[in-house]
Amino acid sequence: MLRIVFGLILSFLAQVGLQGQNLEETFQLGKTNFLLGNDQTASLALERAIFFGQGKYDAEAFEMLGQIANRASQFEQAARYFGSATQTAIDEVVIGRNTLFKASAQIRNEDFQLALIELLGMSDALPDSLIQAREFLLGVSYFNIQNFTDSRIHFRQAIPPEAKNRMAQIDSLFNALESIKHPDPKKAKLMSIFLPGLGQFYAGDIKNGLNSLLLTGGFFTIGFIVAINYSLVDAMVAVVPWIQRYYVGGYNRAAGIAENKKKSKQDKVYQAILQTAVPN
Amino acid sequence: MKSIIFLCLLSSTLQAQLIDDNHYSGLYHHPVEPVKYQAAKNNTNEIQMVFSGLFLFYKFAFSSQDFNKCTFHPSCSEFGLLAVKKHGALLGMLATLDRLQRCNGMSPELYTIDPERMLLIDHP
Repeated sequence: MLRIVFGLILSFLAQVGLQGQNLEETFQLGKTNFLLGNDQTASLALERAIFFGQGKYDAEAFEMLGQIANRASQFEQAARYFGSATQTAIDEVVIGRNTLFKASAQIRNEDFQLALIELLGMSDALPDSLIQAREFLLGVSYFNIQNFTDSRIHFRQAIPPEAKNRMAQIDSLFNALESIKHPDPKKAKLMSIFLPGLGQFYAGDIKNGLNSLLLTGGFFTIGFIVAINYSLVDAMVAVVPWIQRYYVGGYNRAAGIAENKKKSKQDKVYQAILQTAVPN
Repeated sequence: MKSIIFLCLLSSTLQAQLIDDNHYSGLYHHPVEPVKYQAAKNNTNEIQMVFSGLFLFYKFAFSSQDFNKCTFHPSCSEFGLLAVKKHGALLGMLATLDRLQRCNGMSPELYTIDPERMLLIDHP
């Protein structure tokens, strides 16, 4: 009896043409949800389309998955998706665009050297807009590894040749950048090697300089007292490891403080360069 | 037709995201934010307040001038304060002495590694 009932139900369903969602519809569902910002639903549909699609949807779906990962600030994952998109795409422009997205995600993940490898390996036979975006990203990458010479060249190339005002602005900003020499981390380190705390004073951190001076000076005093009252060997064994610890820590910290101060000054110029060089 | 419209939309959205300089503005400089030590908060008695004060003084005057080479997470000073808070002054100090003797990184197989900090995890 049960078999007959099931048979009837199945026959009815077959008659009314009830059928499951096909792969094309799944992919379209993923696209629509991606555009609407429903990232979780979009991811599920797109991953399904990639798995069952036998390569038909890969490039487009990986690109959208990369964007979804970008929106979630998962930049490493995003770079992987864009990398898969470049490997599965056929069109040169799509490959170029996804390479730029991959490099962009790597920059946001602070993998500047990896981004440089991607960008420098790109084809030159691309539309101007992509070439300008590539030059802009090269400028960003070189700047963040403190190669300002190459950064200037690429930021200039990101600007159309007719925009001479912007070019001049970039030049003057990089000239301003080169004039930022104070505080010099090496000088701060040497000063603190000569006298603990001096490098911090030079870098403008008075509190830290006093701290370093008093701490190292205190241990020197203790070492001197021990050497007078007991012996030089006792002083070496008991106090020198402490002096070494805070003396070395102090001059490395002086270099770090100077580096941070200098970067703060350079950062202001960097923000202005970004505003000037960003492609329209 | 639908596909072409979609591709146009997608392309313009993605292009805008790619060249938006705001994405790169925070990259170059990372301002040093003051460290807030959670271990020194929520003291429930005077002993805990005294130890928290000693801990903060050590962090400010000594630890700030030191190398940054911890083997464990939490660091020995934080471990000491947490141990005093958890077990009381006497047992807490004994636990800290024990930790100081173990703080050499010679037996990493005995501890779980914190993958974010790449330090050995050892709570009191």
